[in-house]
Amino acid sequence: MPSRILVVEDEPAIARYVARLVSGQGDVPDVAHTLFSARQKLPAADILILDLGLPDGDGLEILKGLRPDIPVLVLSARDHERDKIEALDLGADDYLTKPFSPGELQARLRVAKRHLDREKETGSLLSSGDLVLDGDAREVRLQNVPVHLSPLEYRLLKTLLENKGKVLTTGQLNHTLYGDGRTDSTALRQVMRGLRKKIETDTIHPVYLHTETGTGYRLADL
Amino acid sequence: MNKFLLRVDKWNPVQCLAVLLCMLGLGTLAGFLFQLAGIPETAIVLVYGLAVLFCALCTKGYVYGLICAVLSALCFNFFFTVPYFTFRVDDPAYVPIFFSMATVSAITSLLICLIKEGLVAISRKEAQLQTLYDVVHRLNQATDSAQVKAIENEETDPAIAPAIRENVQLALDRLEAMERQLQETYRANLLRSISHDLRTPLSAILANAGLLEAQTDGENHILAQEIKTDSAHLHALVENILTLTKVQADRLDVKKEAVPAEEILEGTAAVWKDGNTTWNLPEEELTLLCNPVLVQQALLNLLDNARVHGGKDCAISVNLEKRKDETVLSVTDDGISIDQARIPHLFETFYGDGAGLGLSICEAVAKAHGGHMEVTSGKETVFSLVLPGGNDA
Repeated sequence: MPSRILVVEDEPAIARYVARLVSGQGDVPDVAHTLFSARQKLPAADILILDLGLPDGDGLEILKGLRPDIPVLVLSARDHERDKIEALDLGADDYLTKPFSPGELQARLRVAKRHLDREKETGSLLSSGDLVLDGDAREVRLQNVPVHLSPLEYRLLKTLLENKGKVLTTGQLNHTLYGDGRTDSTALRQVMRGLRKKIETDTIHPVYLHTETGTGYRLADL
Repeated sequence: MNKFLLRVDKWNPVQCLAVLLCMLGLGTLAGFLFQLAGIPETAIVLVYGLAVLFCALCTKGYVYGLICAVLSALCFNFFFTVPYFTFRVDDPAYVPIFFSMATVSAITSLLICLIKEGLVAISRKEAQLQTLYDVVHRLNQATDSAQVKAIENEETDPAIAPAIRENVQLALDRLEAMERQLQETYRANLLRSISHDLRTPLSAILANAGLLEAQTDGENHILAQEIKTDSAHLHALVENILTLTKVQADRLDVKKEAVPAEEILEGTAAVWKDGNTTWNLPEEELTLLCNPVLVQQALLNLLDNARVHGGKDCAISVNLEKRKDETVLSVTDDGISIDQARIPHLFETFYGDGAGLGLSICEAVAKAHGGHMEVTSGKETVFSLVLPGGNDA
């Protein structure tokens, strides 16, 4: 089923190009050049592609108070980690820096669409590819082989699976693991290291657990 | 009292002489009054003693006190012993009185001098401390170097000049640090907006070229492709320039974290999709204290450099090893080797063919971490990013 994708972008050339890429995938693009028109067109949209620097305000404004079921892909010329983290913390699913490659954008759109099409995960069973987390049994299986995780690793994997395909910032993950606003990610990285060792065979080319350098982590939606 | 003494200490000889004469006059006047009242002349001796004491107190140094002691004895002799108004004495018993009078007053005046000098020294120190305190306070309030210079020139007391010079230097350092901080913030903001403003039109050009490429064929298709290639090249160059500027500007303030080595290699491998590259991670768990974004950027530049200069078919390997107090990230290729004469110049900005910028970035990143770059070239070419601190640094 084609999705309605709202492209919020003030630069006409890029808006046109993104719209073309969207329709090339069989989806229906809609373009808004301002924050104001984006707000009006938002109710009809399934997925949002959002530029941050808009003539009448910051695109981040839209993220605040957005309904949680709509995937948001931020497309911005701001490349500082701080900007990325801010957008992701406000609920964006992904962040792409301009200029972007068309293939990259389409790949991320596919992830967003899968997120959209995916029925609500039934009960307590979470999965991505051959990685399954059974919440009732508190068990994790990789290709049907049980994997023994520490309580922290389990909680980390659960959060990542609940948000698969989406980039989670180290701040967000720190919050789920430790319930505080710590900014030091050393402990988190060590838990991640343990988890990675248990679910990946080639840590340099991981299947599930991907590092987004400088911003956070993402569990692949397979 | 102290202030008075300080003032006295600055008096000139004429003033001191005036005080001396004044005291002698007052002593003599009191003597005449005593004589009229019929008080015995021994009391007059005491009055002269008092006059010497005040004279010692109210003049600079000890000389005037001593002169006053001698003169007071002479005055006593002249005015109050028979025969009056001569320096002769009828009663020889007076002679020892004159001498003891002069001696006692002289000793008293010397003692007073010692006390006076002590008090003056203390007062002077106190005043200097107060001045110094005021100067330091004003230096701390100063907002530019002109103000600092003005304060420095105001104060001329040589005793506290070295202390003031030191504080002036401190104030100048503080102002300089503030200025640097301000400039760094300004530069960071400028860089951010420049990179944003350069990327936006480049993205638009790339987007339009992409659309044209898809819609055209023949010669126009090739033209669109060329626009795309050149813009992409320009984009890479712009990114490199911005990165280099950023790293060089931030090098004193790089945010470092303890990052598992595999994360850095993984993040790099996710961007560097090249089938002919092998990644070697040691068995032991290595943790690098670094800024992962910068190290990844450096690593990508080394990989790019190896591919461009080693040749498109050469095998590249990325290695990570721990030396004594260092962690070494190296990129090795078995392609075309580098002329030994060129090696020392490799990291110079814009040396060679523009790709040299990538190596300058690597060097800037290494330096920002307190590390350095190493290069060897023979059968294989190895570029190493050496970071200080080994495992769990």
